Amino acid sequence: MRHRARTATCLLAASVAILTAACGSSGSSGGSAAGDVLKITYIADTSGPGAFYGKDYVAGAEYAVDQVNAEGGVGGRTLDLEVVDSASDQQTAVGAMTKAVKSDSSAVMYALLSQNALAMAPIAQRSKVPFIVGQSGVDGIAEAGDYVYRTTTSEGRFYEAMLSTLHDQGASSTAILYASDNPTAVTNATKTIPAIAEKLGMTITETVPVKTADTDYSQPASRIADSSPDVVADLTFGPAVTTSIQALREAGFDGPLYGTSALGAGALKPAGAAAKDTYYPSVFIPSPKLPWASGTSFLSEYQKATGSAPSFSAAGGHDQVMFLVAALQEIGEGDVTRESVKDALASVAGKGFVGATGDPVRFVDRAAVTPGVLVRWDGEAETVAPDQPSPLLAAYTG
Amino acid sequence: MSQQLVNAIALGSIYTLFSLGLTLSWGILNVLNLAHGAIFTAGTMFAFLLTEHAAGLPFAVVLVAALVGSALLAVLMEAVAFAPIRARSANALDAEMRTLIASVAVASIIVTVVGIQSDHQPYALPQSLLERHRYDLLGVHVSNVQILVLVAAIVLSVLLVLFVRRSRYGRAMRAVAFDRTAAGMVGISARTLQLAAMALSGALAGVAGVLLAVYLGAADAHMGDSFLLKAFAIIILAGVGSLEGAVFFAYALALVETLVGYYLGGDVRDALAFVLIVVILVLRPQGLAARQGWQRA
Amino acid sequence: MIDWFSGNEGYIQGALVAALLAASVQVALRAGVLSFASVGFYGVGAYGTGYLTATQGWGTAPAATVVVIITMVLSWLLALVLARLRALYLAMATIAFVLLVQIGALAWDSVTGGPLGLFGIPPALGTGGVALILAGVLAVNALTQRGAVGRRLLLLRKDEALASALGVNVRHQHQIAFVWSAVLGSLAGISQASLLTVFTPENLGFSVMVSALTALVVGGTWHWSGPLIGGVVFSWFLSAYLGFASDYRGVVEGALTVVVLVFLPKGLAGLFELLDPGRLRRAAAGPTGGPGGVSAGVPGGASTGQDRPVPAQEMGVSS
Repeated sequence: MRHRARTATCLLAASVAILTAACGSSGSSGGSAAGDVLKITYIADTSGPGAFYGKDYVAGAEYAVDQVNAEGGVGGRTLDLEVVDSASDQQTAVGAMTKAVKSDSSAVMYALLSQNALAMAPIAQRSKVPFIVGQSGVDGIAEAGDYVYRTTTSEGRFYEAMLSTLHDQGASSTAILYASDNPTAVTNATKTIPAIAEKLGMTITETVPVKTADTDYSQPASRIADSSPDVVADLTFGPAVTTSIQALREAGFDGPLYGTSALGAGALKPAGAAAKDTYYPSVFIPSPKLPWASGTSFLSEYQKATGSAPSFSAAGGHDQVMFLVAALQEIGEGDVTRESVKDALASVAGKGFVGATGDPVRFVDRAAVTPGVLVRWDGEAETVAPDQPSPLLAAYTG
Repeated sequence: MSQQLVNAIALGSIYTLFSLGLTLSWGILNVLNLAHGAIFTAGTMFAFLLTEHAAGLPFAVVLVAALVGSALLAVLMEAVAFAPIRARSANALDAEMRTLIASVAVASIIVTVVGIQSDHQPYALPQSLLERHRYDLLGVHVSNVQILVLVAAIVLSVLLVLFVRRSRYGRAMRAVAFDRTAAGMVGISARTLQLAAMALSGALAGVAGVLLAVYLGAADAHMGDSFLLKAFAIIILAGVGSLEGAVFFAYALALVETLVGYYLGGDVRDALAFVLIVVILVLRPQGLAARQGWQRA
Repeated sequence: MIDWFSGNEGYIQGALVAALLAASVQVALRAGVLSFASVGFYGVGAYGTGYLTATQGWGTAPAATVVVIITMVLSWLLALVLARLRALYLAMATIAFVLLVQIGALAWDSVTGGPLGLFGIPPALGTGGVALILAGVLAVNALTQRGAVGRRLLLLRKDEALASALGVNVRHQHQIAFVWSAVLGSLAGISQASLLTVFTPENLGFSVMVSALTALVVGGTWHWSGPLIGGVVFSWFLSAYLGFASDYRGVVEGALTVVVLVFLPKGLAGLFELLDPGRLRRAAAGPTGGPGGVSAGVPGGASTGQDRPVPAQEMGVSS
């Protein structure tokens, strides 16, 4: 029995030695791809909590690939999109990423959760694989290095235009309710909005942190309603959106609300009429009133091809692919390697490309800057808010 | 300030409904049932599906249907997972640990199914199920839903306490809580008693779930998680198995949390329940309400 | 082989960390201590390493050393505070501890980076490094599963009163198990931070506790290889090969866990044991050495088995 223990331990030690040796000698692979078919790995959260948006990202990306291939591909090559489910799980996402960088894919894309993107970006950079991220609104992703790009504009950039629109409508004070466990909400609640309010001369009557898992919003809502603000920022997520809006209404606040891009795609539906007069910025909504032509033509063509209206997530997935396609056009008949793709992406990022979320989609520090649109929820549907600047993002033109 | 009091009472009522079911299963079955929150969520999903497929049903019918569904789910869990595991465990520690994990596994199944069913998005019971009204009483906002939650909590806890004190089943349950071999003395088999306790526990979870979904306006697959840990704090404060204690400390915790949240901020409020768990367990493991410890701690 | 390995490296890394974490729960459990505190120390290990390396610019080796020492001191103090608690009460208190660590991680911005977490942690350990750590840990666990130490541990978890009467310092043994468990949790955290290069409050909390425990029980609670088997099944196979069914991953995991709990009390590790010919020979030689140990279970209630004396054959047969 003791003898068996030793044997087992020795076996284990031996297998570890093999593992270690294998690890030491790896890293030589990592394909360059040229020829007739170009492989792209698209990792997305198509199951689990992120699935609602993740599936739309994939639909948008697949639509873009089909369009490109139907027109004969790029530079004589057709695109092959391999979709991998990261299941809204960090370990699965990292596993899929390490697998993708060792495959013969020319580029890897990912949507949706910033938590996962943060862990994946350094792997792409270390393995020198072009990595195009959609959504994932926190800092530190594109900062991983020159192989990593983000094609969704940080929503914080839209807040200035959103607040000045509300300011023009007569709001002179605001209160803020935010999810203190969400990095984007924390930054916007504690830095972005206060700075803008100061610039516009608006007062902040109350700032109340809540947690996403909180269930009691009556107390924060009372605090906010008691401070009598003209407008309220509701930077919460999931069911908390509905709960907090209803609590605010019940606590006696009847004015307009504004919030995060996550309010789009139906998050306000459960709140119904209570959420009437809620504003939020978005990179895209499926509305023919969208103030840029590439967006409305994407809307009608997507609708024709698939039979359903594209969400902002579908537009995002589409643009991830179109960014790469623009780079491949740049390369033309030349050699497609991961390095040449990276260089071409850098060149495209310098000029911008035509996407569903902007014409052109520009880049600052490898993160996208798009015109954006201010959306108003009228109690039943999302509409392009009246009287908004176009583009919403002043920095877009400047 | 009186507004905070109203808020605290509504929150305490939800805590009460949730904790009563949990303390039953812990006290009688010696199960740390981490699936209680999932059954609570399942209750909201039963109600949601019912209102989707049979619009216009009165609220009471939806509530009862969710109650029955959740009770059946809890019984199923006991029959398929907990009972076979207890029967095959080598000793108490083994059984406790393995039923705990089984409850987590069952929770994972329920939460996943509810997540797929709801497309991983928040869902809401239709507004028409229960029109929300807001009353202003002496400068304090009170909603009809808050009143409903309070009344439900009081009625159900009184009924439960009467049942446990007066009925044969209830006496057997109490006997078992004190001495695990005592069930036979009252003429009820341990098996029946265990199933009855789980059914009651599940029913309470289902009612709490539906009421909470109405109170909050929306639900999602993970809504039960945060209540689970609050309920553990309440049960430990009260002493495991003490129903009256659980009711008292449910309201006490809600009140203290509301006050702490108001004066000291959200982080301190969030930590409060967990700090209380550790402190009470270390200083007075039999709970504050129990007169004597009936289980070695 | 090398291509295969490098293609699966991310999943293998996940399995290694999961195995370490499961082992951390196991070493407490086999001394009769139902504690999740090691998951809290997983956070301490990861944040400590992340802070010292990414923020303070230390090397990974000195950072890890300091973090392990801090873990030992803190866990020893915690063991003193929680010394009186047993079973579900200890489980509850340690669950609360883990959640407090998570709340602390969210609130202590200057060290933990708040909700954003820490990133840019140097990937110094690598898959090989973590595999070595795990191999060392499993070797220690395998050796202490047998012999005098193994028998003492078995006695501790089967019958504390008897252990005490036989001169075992129960309290002291529990403390040692608690600290060793915390150190393993901390090592898992150090490994995770180094492999992922990021660590955020979402990497902590209830779900981590659940996956550690599930991996352990499915892998095999009482055998040193259990954590490894569980880690490979849950963090590797289910992540990589579930494919189209991944929406139902929670259902698959849950159902698998219940099935193992009911039908394989020794977990998947017990399956290998059943296949071991030497074991079968011994079983045939004497009627007492049955492979399951299940038959010894007392039906009809958990607590009735509490004071059951440990059968001699069970003490002698290490599994």
